[in-house]
Formats: sequence, C-alpha cells, structure tokens
Amino acid sequence: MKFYGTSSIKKKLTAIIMLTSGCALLVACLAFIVYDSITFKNAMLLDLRTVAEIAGLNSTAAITFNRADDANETLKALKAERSIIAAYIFTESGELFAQYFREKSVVQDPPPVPSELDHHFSENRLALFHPITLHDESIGTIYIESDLTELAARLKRYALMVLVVLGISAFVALLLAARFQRIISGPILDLAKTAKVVSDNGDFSVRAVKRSQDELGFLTERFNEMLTQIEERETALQHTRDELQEKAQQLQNELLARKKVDRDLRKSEERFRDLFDHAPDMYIILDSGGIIKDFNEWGLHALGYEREDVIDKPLVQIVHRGDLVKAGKLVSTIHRTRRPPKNTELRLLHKNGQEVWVSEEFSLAKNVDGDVQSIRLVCRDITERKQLQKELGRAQRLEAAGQMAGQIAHDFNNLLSPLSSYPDLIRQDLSEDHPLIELVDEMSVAAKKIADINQQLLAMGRRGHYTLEPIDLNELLENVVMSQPLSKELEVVHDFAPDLLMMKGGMAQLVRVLTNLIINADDAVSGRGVLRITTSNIYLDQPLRGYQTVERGEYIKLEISDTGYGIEAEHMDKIFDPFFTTKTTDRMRGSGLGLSVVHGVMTDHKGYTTVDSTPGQGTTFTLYFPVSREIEYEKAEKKEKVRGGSETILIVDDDPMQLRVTSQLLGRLGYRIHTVASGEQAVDYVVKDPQDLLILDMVMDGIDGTETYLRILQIKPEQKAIVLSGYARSKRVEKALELGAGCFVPKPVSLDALALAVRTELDKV
Amino acid sequence: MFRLKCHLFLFLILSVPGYSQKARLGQVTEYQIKAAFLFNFAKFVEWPADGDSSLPITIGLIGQDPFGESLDQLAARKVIKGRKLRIKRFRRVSDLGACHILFISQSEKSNMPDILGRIKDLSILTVGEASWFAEQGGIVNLVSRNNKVRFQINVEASYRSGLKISSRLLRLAEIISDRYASRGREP
Repeated sequence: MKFYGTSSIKKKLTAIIMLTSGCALLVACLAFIVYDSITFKNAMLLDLRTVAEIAGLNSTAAITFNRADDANETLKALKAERSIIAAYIFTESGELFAQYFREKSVVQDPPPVPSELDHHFSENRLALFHPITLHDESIGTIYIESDLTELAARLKRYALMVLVVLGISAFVALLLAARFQRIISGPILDLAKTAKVVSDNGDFSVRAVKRSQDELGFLTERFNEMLTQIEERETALQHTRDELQEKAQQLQNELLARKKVDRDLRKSEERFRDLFDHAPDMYIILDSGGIIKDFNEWGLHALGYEREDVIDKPLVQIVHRGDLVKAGKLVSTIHRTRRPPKNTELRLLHKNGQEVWVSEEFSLAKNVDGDVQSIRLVCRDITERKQLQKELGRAQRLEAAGQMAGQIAHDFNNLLSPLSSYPDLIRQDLSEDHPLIELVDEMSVAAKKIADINQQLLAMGRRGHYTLEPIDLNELLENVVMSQPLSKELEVVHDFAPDLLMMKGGMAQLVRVLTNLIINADDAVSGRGVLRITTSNIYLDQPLRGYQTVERGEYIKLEISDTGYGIEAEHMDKIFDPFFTTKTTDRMRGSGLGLSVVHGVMTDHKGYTTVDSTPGQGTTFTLYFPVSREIEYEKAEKKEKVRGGSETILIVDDDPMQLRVTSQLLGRLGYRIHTVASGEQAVDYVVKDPQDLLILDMVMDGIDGTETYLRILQIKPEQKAIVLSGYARSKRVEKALELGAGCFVPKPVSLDALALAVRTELDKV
Repeated sequence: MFRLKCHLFLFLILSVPGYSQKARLGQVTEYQIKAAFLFNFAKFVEWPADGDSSLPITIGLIGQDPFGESLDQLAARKVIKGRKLRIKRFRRVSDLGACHILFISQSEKSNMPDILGRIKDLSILTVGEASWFAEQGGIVNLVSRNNKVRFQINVEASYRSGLKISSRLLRLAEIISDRYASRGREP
C-alpha cells in the first residue's frame, strides 16, 4: 500500500505491466504444464496400453496353449521399457500366469485382479489392467505397473524452463514496460510538470504538449483550456484588483481628509472642552429639574468631588445646608419666570465639608415653546474674598477695639492712680484693727486687678510702643514655663531646636503672649494632660491658613499643644475678639483679653498665628516669628572660630532672597561665590566653569536638587555638594545623600551651621 | 451328471488357457487336450481365399477317431473368429473332401503320403500325431514331451498349402523341415 501511495506513476505503470505480464505468463505456463502433464499422462497411458496390448497379444498363444514359460519370456521383453517396474499376466479365471519385475530383487505381491479393468495413477505409479483378447474373446488380463520418474523429470524440466522463461520474459517485459509506460506516464508527467510550473510561478501562460488523440490527449487539451480560462480570469481579476486598489486609494484619501476634519473637529472640541473644564470658574449644567448633568474639571477640583459624585445628582446635594432654602427658591423661580435669576452668592459644600462661597450666574437653554431645557450655571469661587472680607472686618474690629481699649486704658491709668495709691495712705492713718481696714484692702485688690486689666488693654492697644531687643526664644520659653504655677497633672514636654535662630521683639509683650497661651493650655486640660512646646527654624514660602499673604522668608516656628477640651468650631472665629471668653465659672474667670493680646502682639511683631483644634482632643497654637538676620550676622562676626576659605562655590536656588542671604553669609567668609537660579543652569555652569562645591536647594522649579546633582555627577563624578531645604528630610534628600551629597542643612540656614557644613565638605578628602 | 462334469471340464480347459496342465493331466485325457489343441490351432491360422467367412470352420478327421465324444462336444460349444465349427469324419482316403483342418489319425500312418499327396494343393492344415509326420510333409505334428503335449510345425509345408500360421503359434512350436526327407523319399 505504501508503494501504491508514494511511488511515481512510472514505477506504478512498470509494476503493473510487469505484474500483469508475469501473472499471465505464469498462468499460461502453469496451464501448459498442467495440460502437458495431463497429455503426457494420457500419452503414457496410451503407450502403456500399447505395450500391454502388444505384450498381451504376444502372450495369447502362450495362454491359449498354457505355456507360462513363453509368457514369461514375452514379458521379459518389457525390459526395454525402463519405466515399467512390474508386469503380470492373469488367466481369465484370475490366476497368476506370468510375471515380470524390472529389478529381480524387488518382488512384489501381485495385485488383486480388479473387477473393472482400468488404469490408475498413484503418487509415483501408473498401474494398468489390460485385457488380453483373442479374436474378441477375453482370454486373460495383463497388469503393468510403471513408475512416473519420467513425468517427474519432465515436470522438473518444465519448472526450470518456466523459471527461465519467466526471468527472460520479465526482463524483456521490463525493457518494454520502461519503454512503453511513457506512452501513459509521459503526458501525465507533462501535465504534472506544467501544473507545478503554474502553481510555483503563478505563470498561467505555460501549456502542456498534447501527444496523442486518446483520453490523455483529451485531458491535456482540457487542462490547457482550463489554464487559458484561468489566465483570462486572472487577467480579469488583476484588472478588478487594480480598480479596487484605485478605489481603495480614493477611499484612503477620503478617509485621510475625513480624519483631518475629524482631527480638527476633535481639536476644536478638545479646545472647547479644555476651556470648559479648565477655565478658572465652575461650570455646571443642570436639567430643568435641577439635576447636575455636567460639571467642569475646575469646578470638581475646587469642590473636591469626583465626576461620579455629582453627575445625575441634584444640585442641592452640593449646596451648604445654610443655603438650601435659597437654592430651592432659585430653581423654582427659574421655573416660574422662565428667566434667569439675578446673580447671587451662595455657599456650596466642599467634599471635606467646608463651605465654599461662590457667586452664581445663570443662563437658560429653552426649547421652541420657551420651556426651560437646561440651566447653565457659572460659579466663581469667592471664598477668599469672603474670608478676606471677614478678616478685614475682624482686623478692623480688633483695631477699633484695641484703639478704644488703649484710649480707655490710658484714661483709666490716669484715673487709677488715686485708686491704687490712696488705700495705702488711708491704711497708714487707720489703726490695725480698724473695721475699715478690710474694706480698704479689698479696694486695694480691686485696684490692682483693674491695673492688671488695664495693662492687658494697653498691651493690646499700645502697639509698636515698646523697645525691640534680640531674643532667644528657647531661653525665654524656659523662663516663662518655670515661672508659671502649672497644674501638677500637666506634663510639660520641651522640644526645642538647639540651633534656633534669633529674633527681635518686645520682651514684656512676648512674656505676656507666652504666659497667656500656657495658662490657657493649663486651663484647657482638666486632669491629666500634656503640654508640648516645640520650636524650630522654618522657611516660609507658602501662605498660612487664615492669611492671604505671608512674607516669604526665614521664621522661628513655635508650637504650643495641649490635650485639653479644644475649641468649639462656632467659637473659632471669635477667640481673638476682646472680652470673648469661655472661662465663666468661678474657678476660672477670664478677662477675655488673653488671646486678643496674643493676636495684637503677633501682629506687632510681623508674625503669624494659626490655631488647630479638635474639640475633646486638644488645641495647638502655632506662632511664626520672623528671624532677625542682623543679629545672626553680628553673632557670626563675633564668632572668630568659624573658618572661611577661598574655594569656589556655586549656589543653586530659585528664591532670590535665599540666594542673596546665602551668598552674603558665605561671601563674608572669603569664599568665591557664584549663583544660578535653576538646576538646568547649574549643569551648564559647572560644565563651563568647574566649582569646588555646590550648594543645592532641594525644591526648585524645573529639575530638583537631587536631579541636578545626578546630572552633574554624570559629567563630574567627583563633584562635592551639600543640600539645603526648607522641608523636612524627604526621600529626594535621602537620594541626594546617597549620591554623595555632603550633608543636609535645613532652612532657615544659620550661619554657623552653613559655614561648618561648607568647610567640612570642602575639607573632605 | 456326467454331462455336467464334461461341461465343467471343458469350461476349465477352454476358458482358462493358463491352467496348469500338469495338475489336470491326471484327470484330463491326452486326447481331450489334443482336441482343444485342434480347435486352438484354428485361432492362429489363416486360410487363403476362405470365401464366405460366415461358413463354419470344418475340422476333418480321417482314420480311427481317438477323441471320442470330446471333439463333438467342443465343436458344438465353440465359436472361433465368429465362425461355428463343424466336424467331418472321412472313412477312407478316397472320401477326403474340403475342410480347414484335417486330423490324420495314427491308423492312417501307412496312407500318409497318399493322404498328403491328395490334399497337397488344398489349403488344409494337416495335424498328425505320428512320428516323422512333419518331416513327411505334414504341417502340425502333436508330440509328447515330458508328459506334456507339444507340437511341431513344418513351416515350409504351411507355405506350400498357402496357410499363414501366426508367429505367436510358431514361437511355441518345434519348427520341422521336410526338405531332406521329401527329397530322399520322392525319387
């Protein structure tokens, strides 16, 4: 079967021819042999019969005259026939009359006389009974037995001959088949070759050669016709393909054009969307029912919402609860009048719960019937303005109160003199046990209290009327805390920055501020509690909460935290107002002037105050005092021990003031100072003019200090650097230190610290 | 009963030619065998211009008949070459007539030349049983050898009579020539 599957048609044809001719020849030979064998047997039989006949005939007289000797002699003549093994003559009555054996030694028993006289072939014997007749009268039977060696030899010869003939004819058949199979296989192979050329090269122009007029010729002809048809079709197809390609090209061009239009449209759309989303106002689109349908990014950002927080929600959900009624009225007015209401101000609700003041403007989209389809709302965040207004109001209030208090206190001070001095005079004139002594004493105490209040009022009102002196806040704090009789259950924790910079201030006023705050903290804590006092240097370049603007620069930060009952949110606005107090119990009775004094003094010192309070958990007052650089310079000059140098230093900082301060400090120490305002400039600068040391500000516009250092290191791997930052040590700072920056100097920078850091880094090998 | 016995005997003699003569001789008489021989000779001899082959083969007998009934019995039963047999007895030489086989009895020993002379030109197979019969010109002479019946044939005499004797028969016979005898006797 494998042969059938895989062999070439040539081989198959040859094989078929060989097989067929071989089989035919074999059958013929076998038939011939069988036929010959039968014929031979018949001939043999005939021969034997003749022999028997002759022998019988020759024996007739012997039988007739009962001459067995003669019959034996007659049989002996059979010796000439070599194949005859034995012969017997029987009389008519069946008695053995004469016998003959080819080989004397092999004496066989005579066979029984058969009832029917005939012959029979056994495996290698032919036995024949033949009647002996005389004048048509049977007078006996002759039996002759012949071996078949001749037949066997003959068959052997035939077999040999068949083999030889088969071999020769196979060879001849092979020769002929090899020659004649081409008649069949030739055209088929031609076809196959042509088909291969067609399928391999895709060339439909080739044709198979027609060789004959038979079915193969017909096949070749049809194949060629088919090729012609395919070729025609191919041509038509190619034509169509070209057309299609052309059309595709057209389509492509159209598509490109459309894409361009689309792109332009999208750009335009994006532009408008961008304008919508990022114009610095809140754009809100409501449906007629007041449900939010669209909200621009700016607005979402301003209110802290995600898109899904507000879309398909009613507007009132983001309205401050104080203005819900107002908002409801607005919507209903729009429905009633079908006209946009007048511009109004409204409080919206930030996601974190804070109120956001907005000024609202409306426009309406209507359908042909004049029904309101949607409401367009532009809200401008005016919280700051409101805040400012509020603060201004408070400032004015405090100012007015202060002025009034000052005026009153001044007048009272004059009027108070007799009240505070006369009781002593009166007491001198009265005996020790005079009943009026007690009254006079009470008068004296009251006068002292009034004087005290007066002092507070003066402190609040008499601004700028005190002398400024250099102050070490850490030292002052320690003194104040020590001098105060604080509750024993209050644990005081100090966390003072050892390198705290110097400030200028009025000592008496500052003592009053610190005292007031510490006492408030002590009062706020009932039972066990902690008072934490922290000082640090800080560089402010961001506005503080509650202040519109903050003077950029170095500050001393003082935090006073307690774990007391905190301040209710509703009181937060009023705590700095004069005479506002929550200490109304007998145990604690406040004058309501403590925090007013703090606020006044801080304002006088160009400092800032912020309050963080969580009711029930505690309150933190944070005070920012501006650092006094003059004192620092003086201090620096005094300290001879700070060594300078003449190395080149490049200071990189985007804050011009910081640049100036740092360069002045280091310039005085003899260093040659260069400054650049950004990291990128620094990289360029270093390439042109190598520097011994870099002083890198960490946070800058553009690349930060770490990135700057990284880039410079790639050019100059040995570059030394130190890092300055107003922020606490961050990951970026750590990264810079990892890269090899010498140390991190926190802002605001003290001269000592900076000089030491610079010198240390430069001296590093 | 006797008749049946005879039939059985004849059957044995005629139909089983190879039957051992020796074993039967005690029972079968010499003339019975000789009678059978007479008939059997007819099987191996051809007569010239036999004429009508449907006519019976005639066996003549001259002289004293030694066969008794046996010859007639055989003739009555036997058919040779499809022809019946007829027995013809001649009393005297002068009586001799046409026949195929002529048995010349011992009694005619003295008349032998006369008899043979008479039938010299006739195609008759002469059968005798006298010594020197064949040498005297007789064709077949029955002789006894070792207690067995044998025969002598004078081939030349048969030629002269125009008879053709089968070679198979000749092979069984002693061939006798009468050339010298007749020459010596004739003058």
